[in-house]
Amino acid sequence: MLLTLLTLLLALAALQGSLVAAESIDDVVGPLVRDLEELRRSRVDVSGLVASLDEATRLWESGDVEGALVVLNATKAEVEALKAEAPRVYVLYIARVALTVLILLLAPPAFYTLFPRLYLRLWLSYRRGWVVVKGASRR
Amino acid sequence: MLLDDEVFAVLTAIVIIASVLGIAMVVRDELAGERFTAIGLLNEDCRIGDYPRYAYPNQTLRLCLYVYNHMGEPVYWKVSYKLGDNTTLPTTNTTSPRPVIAEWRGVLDHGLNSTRIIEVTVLEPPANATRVALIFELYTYNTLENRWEYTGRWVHLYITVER
Repeated sequence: MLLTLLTLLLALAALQGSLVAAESIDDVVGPLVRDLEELRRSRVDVSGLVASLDEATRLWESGDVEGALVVLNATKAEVEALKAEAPRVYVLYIARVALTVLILLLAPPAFYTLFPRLYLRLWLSYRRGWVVVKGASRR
Repeated sequence: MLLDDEVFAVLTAIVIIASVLGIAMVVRDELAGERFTAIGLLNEDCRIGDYPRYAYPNQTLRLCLYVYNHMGEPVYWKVSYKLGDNTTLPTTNTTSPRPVIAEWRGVLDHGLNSTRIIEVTVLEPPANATRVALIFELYTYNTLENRWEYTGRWVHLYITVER
């Protein structure tokens, strides 16, 4: 009885293992690509992770499934870490855009206000040594 | 006045235009443009032209696949290789009815392309046919529905099969 139960458990374990091995690469890469899409929308740089996924698909197609799984697991771990960082990255991105727009909005009035004064200051400093003589010749 | 009024007006106008253009560039959403993918077939040196014209049945040909992503996000792509003729070519809406012989997959970031040397086997065509079309169809993975979608993009190359 015990031997039969043990055999059954081993058979179940083997079946589960074969299911994992038979899992399509699409089932692994697809969700990771979806995560990368969301990260990119949050303005996280995912170019390195995309290259890793591409490498994993090539390894898988060349028959190196183990190598592909190593790369996929590393990519998955990195994606999970970046998911936690994504909100902060997005807030920083929005702040950077808002600051840039504010600076660009302020540029015309700042130019209108400051440029004549700056020009006048430069004009005067350039002619610092000049002497004004009433009635002098232009030569 | 030291600074000519007209010169100052022109300078101010330039600054205003530059400011508006700058704001437009900063807030422009890069995903708002046209979204597309592209596929190309190159020769074994990954260059256009000088493609093989003849092949023996079951001969393996070396070619180069080119895939480009301009979808605004990373794309998981697949190219399916089929052997057909002028009656079984794909259209922009439908794929070729012929069976898939081989597939190649990859992941591309927005704005990037991939060139990959591939080896395709030219299977023996039916007895009355000598001219076959090597068909390459481009698919992208719909990550929301977890299924492959035909992009409507394909390339084909006619080959004369010597007997």
